[in-house]
Amino acid sequence: MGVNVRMVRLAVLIIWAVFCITPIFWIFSTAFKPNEEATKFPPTLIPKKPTLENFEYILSDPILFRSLLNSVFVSISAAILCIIISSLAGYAFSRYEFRGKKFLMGLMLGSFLIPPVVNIIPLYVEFFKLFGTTDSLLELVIVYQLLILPLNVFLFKNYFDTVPAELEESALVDGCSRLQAFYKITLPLSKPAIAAASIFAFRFAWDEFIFALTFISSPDNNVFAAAVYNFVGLYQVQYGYLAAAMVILCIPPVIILTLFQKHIITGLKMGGLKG
Amino acid sequence: MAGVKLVGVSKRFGKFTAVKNINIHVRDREFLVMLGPSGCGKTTILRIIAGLEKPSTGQVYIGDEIVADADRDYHLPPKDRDVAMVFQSYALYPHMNVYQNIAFPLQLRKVPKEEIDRVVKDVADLLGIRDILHKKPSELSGGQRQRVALGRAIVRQPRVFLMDEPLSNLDAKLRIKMRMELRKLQKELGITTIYVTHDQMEAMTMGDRIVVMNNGKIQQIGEPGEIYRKPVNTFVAGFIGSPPMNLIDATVTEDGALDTGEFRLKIPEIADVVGDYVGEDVVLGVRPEDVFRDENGIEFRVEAVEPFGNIKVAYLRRGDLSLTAQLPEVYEGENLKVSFRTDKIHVFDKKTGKAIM
Repeated sequence: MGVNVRMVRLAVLIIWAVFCITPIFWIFSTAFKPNEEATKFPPTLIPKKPTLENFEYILSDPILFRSLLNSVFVSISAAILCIIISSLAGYAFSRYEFRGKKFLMGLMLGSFLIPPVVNIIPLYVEFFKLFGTTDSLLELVIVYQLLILPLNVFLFKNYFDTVPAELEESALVDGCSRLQAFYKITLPLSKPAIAAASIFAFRFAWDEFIFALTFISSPDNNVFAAAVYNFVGLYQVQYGYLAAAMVILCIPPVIILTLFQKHIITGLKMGGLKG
Repeated sequence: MAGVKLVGVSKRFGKFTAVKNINIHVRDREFLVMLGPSGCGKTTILRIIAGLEKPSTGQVYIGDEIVADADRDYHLPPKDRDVAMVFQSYALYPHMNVYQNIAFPLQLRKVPKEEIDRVVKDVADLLGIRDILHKKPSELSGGQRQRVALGRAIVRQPRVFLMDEPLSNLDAKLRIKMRMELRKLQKELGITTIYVTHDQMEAMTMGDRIVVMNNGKIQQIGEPGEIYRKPVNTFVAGFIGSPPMNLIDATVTEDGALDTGEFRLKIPEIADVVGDYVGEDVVLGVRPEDVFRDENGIEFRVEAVEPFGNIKVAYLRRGDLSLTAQLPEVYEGENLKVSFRTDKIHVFDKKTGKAIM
C-alpha cells in the first residue's frame, strides 16, 4: 500500500472518529458545567468550573429518581420476558417442522421492517381498549416485546441451529422430557445468544423514548428517558441537567457491554448477525 | 434385562422410505450387530427403538412391553423406555464435566446423591476414567470421550444398549482394543445390545448375530460364521469378507458347467443344482482364500500383488476377467495356474441375486 493511500485512509478515519466522538465528548463536558456556563456563547470545550451539581440535582429529585428506578424495572423485566419468549420461539423455529413455518418466520422478520412509529397509535388504541389505561409500566414491558421479539427470535433460531440436535436426543434417551432437554442442555449451551439477546432487549427498553412518552401519563410511572424530556421546556432548554441525564443513561449499557463483550460477539456471530 | 422385537417396521420420510418391513427379534442378553453401507437404514432402526423416531408402520417391543405401535399411533417417549444410547459423536454435554455427564441420567431419576456418587465412581473404575472425572469433554482425547459416553450409558443399567458406530471416530489401534473391551463389558453386564456399524470386522468379531442391511431392507440375519460361509445373495457375498468375494458372471451350459467366457467350470456339486438354469445367467462366487495354485488349473497373469505379511493378495487377469486371490507366494508379472476349492464355491441367480448354492 502506498504512503499516500495510507495517509488518506488515516485522515478519513480521524475525521470520522472526530465526527463520532465530538457529540459524546460534548455531552460529557456539558454534564460537568454549571447551568450558566452550559448555555454560554461562545461555548467552552472543557468546563472552566467542573461541578457535580447537575448529577446531584437529578439524583436528588424524587420524581427523576423514581423514573430511573422505573427504567431499571422496565428494562430488566422486558429483557427477561423477551428471553423467555424468544428462546422458546426460536427453539420451535429451529427444531420443529410445522406447516407455515417459513411464512411465519418471514412475517415476523417482515414486521421488523415496519418503523415502530407507525405502530404507536394502533398499539395505544388496542392497549387502551384491552386494559382501560396505558399508564402502566407492565404494559410498557409488553409493548416493548412486540418490537424486540422478531430480532431476538431470529437470533435464537440461528444460534440453536448450531447446537447439535444429538445432544438433545442423548438427553431424551437419558431421561429428559423435551422441555428438560431444552433448559438443561440447549439453554446452558446458548449463553452467548442469551447474552446478546438480553443486551438487545435491555438496551432497547432502556433508551426507548417515543412509546414511553405516548403511553405513560403520570409522573410516578414515567421512565427516565422520557422524564428527562421535561428539561426541554417551551422557552428554555436546561442543557446541564439534560447532559448529565444522558451520561447517566449511557452508564448501564456501557458497563454491560464491557462485561459481556466476548459472549455478545460470539452470540451475534453464531446467531448469523454481524457484530 | 429384555429382548427387543420389531414387527413389520417401516419408516418413511416424506416420499423416501428409509426402512422397509423390518422383522427382527433380538434375544435377551444378545449382542446383535446391524451391518450395512451408509444410508442403508440401520441408524434409523436404532433411533426407532430408542424412540427418537416414530415408525410409519409396525410395532416395537422391549421385553414384553410394546413401546411403539404405528397402527394405534402409540409412542412411548424415549425417557420411559429405559434404553441407553451411545452416539457416533458421543454427544457428551459440553458444559458438564465427566462426573456430571455420567451422573446426569441418575440425577434425572432422582437417585439419592450418595448413591449417585458411589455408582459413578464404580463405573469410572470399571472404565479406567477415575482420574478424569473433573475434566470437561473438550479436554479429553477421542478414546476418553468414548469411555465417558459408555459410562453414561452403563451407569443406570438399562434394559437395552443402543450403539451407533461408537468406535468409528477412534484410531485403528484403539478401535481394535475397544472392540474387545466392549464385547467383554457387554458379557459381564449381560445387557441386550444392538450395535450399528458399517465396519464388517467389527461386526464379525463382536456380534453374536449379524443383521446385514441394504437399501432399507434386511438382507440376512445370522451368526458371523454362517453369514460368511453361506451368504444368501450377491450383496451379502460382496459386502462381507476382505478382500471381497470374486463375483464372476457366467452362463449355465447344457452339460451343467459354468461358462464365464474365459474358462469353463464343470463340477458335479454345481451340475446337481443348476439344472433349472440351463442357458441362463448366473454369478459365480469364489472367496480369494479359496483360490489356490494348481498345475491342472486355469492360467492367469498376475497384474499386481499386495503383501500383507504372511499372505499376499494377488490381482489376476485372464482376458476381460479379473480375479482376486490370497496366495502364500506370488510375484507380479508371472503367469500361474489356479483352481477353486469346489466345496466353497457359491452360485447366485444373476437376475435376483439370490444364492442357488
